Amino acid sequence: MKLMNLRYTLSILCLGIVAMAASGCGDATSPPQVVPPDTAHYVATFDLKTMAGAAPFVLDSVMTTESGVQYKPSALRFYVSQFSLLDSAGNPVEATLVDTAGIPLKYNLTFCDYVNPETQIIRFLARKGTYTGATFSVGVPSDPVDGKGLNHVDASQQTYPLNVDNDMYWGWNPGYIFFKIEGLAMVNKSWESFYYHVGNDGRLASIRLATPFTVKGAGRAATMLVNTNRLFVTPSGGAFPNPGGALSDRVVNNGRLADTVAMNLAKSGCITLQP
Amino acid sequence: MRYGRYYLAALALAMLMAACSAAVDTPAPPLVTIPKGFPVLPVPPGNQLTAARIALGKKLFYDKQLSRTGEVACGSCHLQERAFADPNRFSIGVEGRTGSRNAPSLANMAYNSSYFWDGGVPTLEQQAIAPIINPLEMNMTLGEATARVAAVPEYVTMFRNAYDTLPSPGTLTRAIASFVRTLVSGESRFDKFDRGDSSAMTVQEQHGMTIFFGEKGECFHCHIGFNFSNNTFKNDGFLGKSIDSGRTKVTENPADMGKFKVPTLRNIALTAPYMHDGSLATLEEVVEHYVTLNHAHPNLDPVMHPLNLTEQDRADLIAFLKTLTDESFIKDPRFRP
Repeated sequence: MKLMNLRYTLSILCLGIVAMAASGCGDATSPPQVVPPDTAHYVATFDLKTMAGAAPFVLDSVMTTESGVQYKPSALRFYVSQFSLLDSAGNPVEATLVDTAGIPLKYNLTFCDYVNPETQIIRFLARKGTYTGATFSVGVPSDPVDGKGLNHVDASQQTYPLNVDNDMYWGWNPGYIFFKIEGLAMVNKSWESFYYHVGNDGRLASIRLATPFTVKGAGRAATMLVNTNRLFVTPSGGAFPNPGGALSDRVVNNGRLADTVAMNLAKSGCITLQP
Repeated sequence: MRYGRYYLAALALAMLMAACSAAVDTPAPPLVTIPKGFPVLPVPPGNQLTAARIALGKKLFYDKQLSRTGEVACGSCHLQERAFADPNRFSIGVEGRTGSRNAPSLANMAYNSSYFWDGGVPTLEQQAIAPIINPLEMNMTLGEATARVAAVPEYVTMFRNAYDTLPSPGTLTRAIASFVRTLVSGESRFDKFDRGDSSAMTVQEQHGMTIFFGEKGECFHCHIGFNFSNNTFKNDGFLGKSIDSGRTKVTENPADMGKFKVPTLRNIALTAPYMHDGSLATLEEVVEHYVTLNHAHPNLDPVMHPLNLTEQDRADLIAFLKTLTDESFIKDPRFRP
């Protein structure tokens, strides 16, 4: 009984000493409060906005190219890959593309299909801060993936958006259509079909958008403006290709015209950023 | 008499044992029969051949439900009695649609390094995709094809046995590739002759063989090796009846304009019509092309020149080509529906 009382007394004493010590320290040497940097990654977005020059882009509606050719698009679809943000020094820092749930996308690749609003937002992980721009490629890279070039893998083994049935795959020459726009164009006062299907490794369109934007947290960081009219203008200002021209000018999946569309995509201001 | 009964009983027992023994010892047919002199069958690591995969692939190969309208199967155009080629100039797809190239024989496809006349497809597994989704052929999506077979309990069991999974686009195409990979042909009269049976070919056929492999015919420059193809792409001066850029369609290299894959000549007597567009109906017309060679083309292969063949030479050469028919291949029950 005596022993228990002694232990109880000692415990009270110890608590008192600890409390006094803690109180004393707080009064004498309290350091200034430091807020740790926010190193968290947020799901930031580039929200796509598609235009045909100054006019809103609307499927099956009449658009007019800068050279005056009328066209009615019925599809606008493309892959985005090799996505990086530009740091304050302008150096690319790879950023992870994610889905609506914030889960990283396979191969760090996403797909934009105008008819699917869910695909009109590019989601990526980024820390808060100001960036000097972004870089990415329109297309499917040929980087080695599991020992094969991703652009040439067996598409029957792939899931959306790289599956065969996504209608972006060439069965006769296995590889993906990186970018496609198709529809009708006015040719000699008659609506005729046109399509530009751009693919093959050499036509991966590398795009660098040096427009500063700020990631303030989750949500929109910038608007990605897609101007389809600039597809038909070369970097030097030429009206080429011509969707209202001869069949060989408006039905394209390879050759010089496909090269030109890929070049226009990359260098004619088809895709820009707006903070 | 008494011993006679014992004798008969012992004889009956021996016959029964022999019968049982025979039944037990009879080996299952091999998955693939590799002819003597052929290389080891190339099989990709991700799709090893098994009996279950081949059986599934064969069922899919002959299943018209893989086409959108249910009209066409792989086997509708690749007929076994034609060495898995199509007697039509252009194969007939759904709703009577036709393309612009002749369907080749599927014999010995496993040994090819590329597929289609322009060689655009590098593997049998990827090749299986193209006819299914081609609007002019089966005009189907892989998703719908998979859904159709997944609705059939027998298929579900077969996919489980073959790939330990439910039907999927990837297993569907791999199964078809597995079956096609087994279509090996190398038991023709020429092969028998080549292995030492001098009676397997007539004197005329032997003379034709001399032309084929000699400087008179020069066929061997391209049609060489166990499969009578060097697996390259050549412009042999045959332009066909319509414009076809050939290999250029894949490579986008103007130097490949008008080049097409060198086809095997095995079973050539069965695979008419001939050339990439099927516009030559007979072997006589084919030989006539190489004799006249009146189509100038900047990409004409350097070995090509008009052949100096007499009427007898032509007949003998054709007689030799007919020795490349493999009767056992076109009757093999393993390949039937």
